[in-house]
Amino acid sequence: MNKVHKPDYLGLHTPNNEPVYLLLSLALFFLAVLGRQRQLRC
Amino acid sequence: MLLAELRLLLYRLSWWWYLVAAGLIVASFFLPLETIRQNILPAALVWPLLIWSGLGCRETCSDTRQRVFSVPHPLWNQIPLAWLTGFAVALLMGGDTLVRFGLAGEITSQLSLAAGLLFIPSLALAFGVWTGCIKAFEVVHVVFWYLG
Repeated sequence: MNKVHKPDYLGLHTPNNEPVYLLLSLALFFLAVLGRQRQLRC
Repeated sequence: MLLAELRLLLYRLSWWWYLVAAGLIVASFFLPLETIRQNILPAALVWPLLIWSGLGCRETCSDTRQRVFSVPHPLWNQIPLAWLTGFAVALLMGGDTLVRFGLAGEITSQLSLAAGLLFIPSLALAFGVWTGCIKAFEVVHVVFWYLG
């Protein structure tokens, strides 16, 4: 029987995409730091 | 401090939430890898949604910003700790699958899952801090979860 594959829209299952998600994680973390800095200044 | 942060995130959940979480963790140890990949892991990565969505916005939601932000070094004492708490929850829910992938020699799956486990708390924290509410992360995470 043929296996039905779900499309990988976000590239989560594509090999070698891990560094992209790692960089995104780092960027999001620093975005959170910036956001908190902004809150602290208010 | 990490335990105190964890307690703050977990105290409002009822016993059946823990029961399902424990069931998912135990199932990840014993079920075949394909079943884990198809059913258990997706459930394990959406079940703590209500915990992750509180990251970074609890102070705004409960209107305790003035008190929480008045402690020494509020930025570097709180943000990394909040991220670590979210990562600890992610690791708790997906860590055993990470080990199973490693034992089965599925390094690609292991790396993808590790990247995902690091990504979830970062996303939650950024959305929590910038939007000040839990809904934005909940919507985005469910969309990611569904599409991914």
